[in-house]
Amino acid sequence: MLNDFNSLEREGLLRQLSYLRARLLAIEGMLNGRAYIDIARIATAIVTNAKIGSVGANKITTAQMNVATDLYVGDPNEGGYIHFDAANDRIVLYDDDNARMVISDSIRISLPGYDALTDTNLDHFGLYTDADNILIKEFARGSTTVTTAEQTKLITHGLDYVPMFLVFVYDTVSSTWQLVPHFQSTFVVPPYGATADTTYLYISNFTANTTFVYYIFYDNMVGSSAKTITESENVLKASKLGVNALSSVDPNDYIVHSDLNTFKIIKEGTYPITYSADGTYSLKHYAQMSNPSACLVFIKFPDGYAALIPGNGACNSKDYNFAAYQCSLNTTDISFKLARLGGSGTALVVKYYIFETPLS
Amino acid sequence: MGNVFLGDFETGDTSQFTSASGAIESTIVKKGLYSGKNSDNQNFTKTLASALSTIYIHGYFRLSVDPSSSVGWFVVVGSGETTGQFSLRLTNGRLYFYLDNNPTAPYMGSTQLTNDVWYEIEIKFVTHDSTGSFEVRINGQTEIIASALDTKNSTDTGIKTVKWQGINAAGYCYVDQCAINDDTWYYNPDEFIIKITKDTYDALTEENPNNIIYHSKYNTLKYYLSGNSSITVVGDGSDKSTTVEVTHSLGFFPVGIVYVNFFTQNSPTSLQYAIVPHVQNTLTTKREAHAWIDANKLYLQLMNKSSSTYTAVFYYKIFKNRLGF
Repeated sequence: MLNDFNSLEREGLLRQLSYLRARLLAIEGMLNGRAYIDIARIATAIVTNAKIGSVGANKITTAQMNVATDLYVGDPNEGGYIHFDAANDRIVLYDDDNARMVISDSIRISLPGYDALTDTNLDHFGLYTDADNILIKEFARGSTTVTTAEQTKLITHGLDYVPMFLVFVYDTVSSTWQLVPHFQSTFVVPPYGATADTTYLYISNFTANTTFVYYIFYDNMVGSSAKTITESENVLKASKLGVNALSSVDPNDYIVHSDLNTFKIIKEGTYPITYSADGTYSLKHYAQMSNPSACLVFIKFPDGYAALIPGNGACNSKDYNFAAYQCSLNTTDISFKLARLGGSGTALVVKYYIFETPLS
Repeated sequence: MGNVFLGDFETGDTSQFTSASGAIESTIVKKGLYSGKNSDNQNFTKTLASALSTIYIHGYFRLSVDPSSSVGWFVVVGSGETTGQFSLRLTNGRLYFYLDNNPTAPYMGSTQLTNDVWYEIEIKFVTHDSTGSFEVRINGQTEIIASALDTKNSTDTGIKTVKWQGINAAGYCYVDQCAINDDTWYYNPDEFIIKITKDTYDALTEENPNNIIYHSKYNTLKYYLSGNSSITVVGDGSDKSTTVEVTHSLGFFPVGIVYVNFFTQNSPTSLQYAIVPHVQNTLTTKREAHAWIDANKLYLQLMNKSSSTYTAVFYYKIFKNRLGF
């Protein structure tokens, strides 16, 4: 009997010992993790409520801390840090010198060198969801070879509306990449063509076998059939105004969605051009890419209006005094041709955007 | 070694520099409590103990007046033991890099700088008579780059004196965080990145752009206005055109992309869409679609040279990205 009692008591003591040991390990684990607490600078009397709900073997599993004003993670005097700014209901991520990401009732992410808290120039932001500044979202991208034997390759998108799309071709004659417009002529067979309808992207090649790069975007140009996507388990998304980000799975309801690739501008720049004679004009783009292929180039003519310069095609000034044509891109230069058809203007300006290249 | 000089003006005077004619500024400051202020060819100069054959020169710059029509705004000047080696100048609002051994052939940048904005500008310069090179970055992004050059002027083998110099015009050029490194960039934009990858890809390691949804280093196209406009041109056999104006009222030249519908030659009942400008020529007809944009409007034009009436629908997207015209 005594042995039985001692046995039960021993069992109870062992259980108590085990429990206390677990608590000790938990506290030890928390203390081991104090480095994480050390980098959080908590000002005096700003934590209005702090409680630990439960602890695991070596971590706090549930906890709550109400911060009245400020919580800094990282040292503001030593480079990048995060500021939980309760007074303004926002979280701000800083690099060495600038606020780069602000999360409040919107998300702003500035480009390097610009302050996301103070800057308001949209060109200094990659993401700015305060209004419907929508990032075009890719449905598909890729590169494909189209032979002269097949002439036209069909890329199925099946979106049931005509999407925004861009196609670029590697022109084997000039060894450059060019934006493909669509020209039809009974007199001269155009070398390339790109069109779309509600089902397909059509890429045509009537010259030497070559490679095309294409981008098809969810963003509709014609029609508005609602689309749905199957979202990943973990997503980051910002919806348009008036759309519930918790329920909508239509890609066109979003300014940005982490399941959908954005169309990143690798390099952009402006150049003044002084017309001197009909012919080819070139500029250095300095994009640090081994394989640039996608480029949009706009030109402002002396008449004061701007147009997009195509690859195997031409745009005219609004007064038809100028034509700009055969815009092309290689690893160092952007080139195009100018012809003055009338007038005496000489001052033109070019703006270029070089985009990321799909990798196969 | 890394950083060999930092002139951050936080001493409240110019004592960090070897010599200086610029003033101390405490209101317009990029970092800390003080910056420097140059006007009319004033400068802050640092002369190193010995010349560096590879040098990184950093500074924040901010102009008080619009530089778009001003000529000869010096930014940074690098000199060797005996003579000048290079200068980075701001002319008409854009950077020009001059090698002193070939001063008539500067390298031009493509970014139009404006007033009242801090720009983080850094130069890497390698002195060599055949494998010399230089790179200029604005906000961590390459602006101008060239290699395999003769960058050596006279017998100097490196840069010993650096001037963060003022301007030859009205107004001020503010400078801050004037720094010299000898083996790495002072500002590395890759040290702070917000990157979002597709599901199942590791944002810490993924480099394939196909799998990176968003990257804070890169700008994006941001659109805000979409629409369409149907244009009909009555044909009489001569060149006829109609232009429709779409008002965007942005006050700047934005990016605009336009598509137009048309019937393909091979299947004339199939309506397809192509980017504008677009041209269709046949033996009897000529139809063209054009688009132009300015600071207030998008102009859509259909031209029809045929004996029959022709209608096309233009579809457009206007982005808030500035063309800078």
